[in-house]
Amino acid sequence: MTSVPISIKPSGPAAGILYLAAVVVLLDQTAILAASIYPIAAESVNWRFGAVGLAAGRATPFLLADLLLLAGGMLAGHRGFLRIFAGLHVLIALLLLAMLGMFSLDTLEIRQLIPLDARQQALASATRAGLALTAVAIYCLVVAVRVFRATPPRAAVRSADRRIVLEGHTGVAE
Amino acid sequence: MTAVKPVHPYGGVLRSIALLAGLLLLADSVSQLIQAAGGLEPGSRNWRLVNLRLLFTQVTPLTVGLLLVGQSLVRSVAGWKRAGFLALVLGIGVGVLATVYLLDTRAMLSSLNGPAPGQLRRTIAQVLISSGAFGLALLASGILSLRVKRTA
Repeated sequence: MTSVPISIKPSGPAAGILYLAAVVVLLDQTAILAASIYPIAAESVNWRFGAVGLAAGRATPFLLADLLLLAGGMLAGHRGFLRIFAGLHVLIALLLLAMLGMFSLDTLEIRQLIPLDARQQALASATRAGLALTAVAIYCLVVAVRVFRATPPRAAVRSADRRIVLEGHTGVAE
Repeated sequence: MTAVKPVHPYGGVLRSIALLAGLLLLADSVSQLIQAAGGLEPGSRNWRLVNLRLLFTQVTPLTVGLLLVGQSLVRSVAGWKRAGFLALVLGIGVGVLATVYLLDTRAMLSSLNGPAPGQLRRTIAQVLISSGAFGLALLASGILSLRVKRTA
């Protein structure tokens, strides 16, 4: 018996379980984050600064859930889902970049209000949160581009298939 | 004609690493819970409230740990049916624990005078969302696994 490398074949139950795990992680992390930032006070600089810091601290589990969704979509061959997923990543990246801009302005504003002895610590936390937001925004854009490229629209695939068939026929005729 | 067995070139190594990572995640979560519990007092409502809340703050590592260990179990030891049955049992267990937590919090809230503090309500909501999602996902995974016709 020979072993040969193959691409991953679609697997329904495994993909379903990956989707479920991703949803659990997303719900769990969102609930924890919501419980820590509620009640919402978007007009307050302090609240915005704290909320973005807390959200950035939860970047890793959210990325994990994202990877589980991506793996589930690829395993099941859910092309439509993957394209929507890529589109969402573009939106999230834009949202994160806007959030980063606002967070930078908030940091500059809040710096004046923090006592001198705590300022260094607060700026270090803000830098960390800013870096995390930047990294996640870049990740989202890269994922979106890669997934869009890996899942061309059905029309493009059909047209490529037709070309291959026609070229094949031409080759036979020649 | 030679029979061809389809395998991924790094499949075995990746599965072993995934199993190890899953076991580490589960061991880390469980050891944290045991350390925080400081003994077994299931008869005490306060003990149940504190420890069930702690258990349901570990939903993310437990989910990922179970996922990583589960894929290895399905492939090597248990097969889909047994893994599905185990997931169903765990799902029912989580459901029972979430119900106990809900009943305990209701009893505690009714014993408090005046409105409950906002932070307490938020914590209860968070625990119920996390535990509900975890329990339902385990039950759904169990059903999905039991419906698989072939063994992997």
